[in-house]
Amino acid sequence: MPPWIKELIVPMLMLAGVGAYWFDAASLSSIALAFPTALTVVILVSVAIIAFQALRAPNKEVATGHPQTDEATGVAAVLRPWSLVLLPLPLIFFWREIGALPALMILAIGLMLVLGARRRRWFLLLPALLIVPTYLLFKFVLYVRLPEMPFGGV
Amino acid sequence: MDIFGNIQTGFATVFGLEPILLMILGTSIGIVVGATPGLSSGMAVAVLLPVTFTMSPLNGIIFLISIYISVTYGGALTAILLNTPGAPENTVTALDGFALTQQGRSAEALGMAIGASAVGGLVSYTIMLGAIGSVAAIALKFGAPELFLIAIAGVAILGAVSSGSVIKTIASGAFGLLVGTIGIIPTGEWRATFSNPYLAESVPVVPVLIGMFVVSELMMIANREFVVDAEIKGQRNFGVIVRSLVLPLRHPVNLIRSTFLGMGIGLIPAAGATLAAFSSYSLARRSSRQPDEYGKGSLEGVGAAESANNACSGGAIMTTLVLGVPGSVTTAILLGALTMHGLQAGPNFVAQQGPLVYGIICAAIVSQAIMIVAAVGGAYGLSGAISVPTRLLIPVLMIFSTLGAFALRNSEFDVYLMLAAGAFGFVMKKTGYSPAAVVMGVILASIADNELIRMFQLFGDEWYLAFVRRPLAASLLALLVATLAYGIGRNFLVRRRVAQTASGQRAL
Repeated sequence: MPPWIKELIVPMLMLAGVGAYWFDAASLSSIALAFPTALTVVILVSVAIIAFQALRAPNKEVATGHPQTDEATGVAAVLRPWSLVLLPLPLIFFWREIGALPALMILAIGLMLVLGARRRRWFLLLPALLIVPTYLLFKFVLYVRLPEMPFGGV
Repeated sequence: MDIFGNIQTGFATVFGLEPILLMILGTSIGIVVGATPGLSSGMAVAVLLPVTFTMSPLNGIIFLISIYISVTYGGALTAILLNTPGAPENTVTALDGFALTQQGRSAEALGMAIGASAVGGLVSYTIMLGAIGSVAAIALKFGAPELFLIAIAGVAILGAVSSGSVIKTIASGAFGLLVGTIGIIPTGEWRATFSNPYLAESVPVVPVLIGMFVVSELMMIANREFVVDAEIKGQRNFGVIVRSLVLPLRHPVNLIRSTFLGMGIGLIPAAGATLAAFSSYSLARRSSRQPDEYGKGSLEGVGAAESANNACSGGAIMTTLVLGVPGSVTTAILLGALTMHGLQAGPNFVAQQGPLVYGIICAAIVSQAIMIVAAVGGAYGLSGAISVPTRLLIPVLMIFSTLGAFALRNSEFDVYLMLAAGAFGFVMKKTGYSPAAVVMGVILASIADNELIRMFQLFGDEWYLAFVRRPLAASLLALLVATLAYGIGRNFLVRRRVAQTASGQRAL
């Protein structure tokens, strides 16, 4: 992906967020919109400057400022990080039907598989030693109302 | 009873078996809670509040305050070792702390953080012993204009300390502030909520914090086998952690300045330890002889942040007890604990309940010593986490994060919010933006927005003149403008220097 396109991804996402904000909030009173208006101006000016800088030097590599920049290549390497946010989605969506504990176990095992775990003992040990106690801590000590398994159970 | 009598009584009360055991228990719980993404001091204090029903008021408050204070210690451990701050106030600690971990110097960073926290807390609570009686007058001077400027400064400071693009940090901070304005406002209007009841109370900070810091960081390391490279992994050294406890004393000016700044900010209701940490870090960087090290592994930076955020708790508790105004969820729960025991915090509280108040402060001082021991043990134990393969570490932290986000309101919406924030934070980190600025904006938006609306109501059409007519507000405004100008100017000079160096090299 050309560097100048990378530079514009976050500004575009911010502009989309600002657009959605104003889509719902535009009809409010002037007092309600004073602070958001000022912030929107700051965001628009900042995005304009960022876009100008990106287009002026379209081949200048993006400085991430993050020491952990990882240059892994390949489809699997690109998808692996995104699995952390995509895998939980259906599980959380359906966990009221299947129960929180099974959903969390599936999530943990799924993530281990995606991240390259292969030793079978870890697929048993991690849920038993960490996932189940964590679930019990949240449910019975912190009294979080986690969805229960169907037909009774924890 | 005079002040010395109260102090004497306070210490005598604290050195009993039950208070000491409660301090040890509370400290241990606080450090574990602080180190765990998804668990907060408010959660721990709220859950354990009923446990204090059967205790005496002093013992109950001692237990809860030990948890409250030690959470910051615990949050620093994960901030340094895993770049996943367990609490918002440890965000800035991660900037340099994790960089030090990657250089194989995590033990030094941990020792510095624990030592600086201990000194910050010790000095802050010791000053409280003598000053609590005269604190109310100072805190009451801060009105709507001052609080608004302080909230804006909290985000602007990030632009000044950023080692990356200032304009990207400003954009991130402004975006965070805008997101933070979502919700029902004091006029009763629903602002950008899309009629979603989960957004009516405003965007919850905890899921955004977990997403932006924890989930995004886990995404960043998903392709790595370990958190840090194998050759610098072997840095689990108990001796170095202990020897590094005295490192803060090598930077006495930084330490004293950060402590007083943190304590001062803690006196302001709702300002918070996060603001204290960022302000102190910014000031330390500007005063440092090696400012370029900040953001790349500066022990000084770690010390500035940690001494300030722990000193802030002293100021916050002072405001809570003396003014009866809680600055956070946790101090609100502490107030609730006092009420539960039939006590009413406020300007007369110190005069009426001297032995209790001084007992609480003395317990907080004694707790600092206990926290050092517990934190060193926790630091050594947690150091092993960087040797755990990511294929095991990431699933565990994702489970904690998911449950932590859900636990706030028993709502799947918060989990989705966390995941969205995580994805956005990941993209931001990949392209040089600052998730910290977004989170800071979300945290401070309600303060800034509410105070601005109050200004409209108090000052009418001439609301903007309040910034210049009030000396305190004018000083804060000047400081804010100077901070921003410094950040932008420094960034411009660095870019010009880099461009000149590059053109010089091309000429050769």
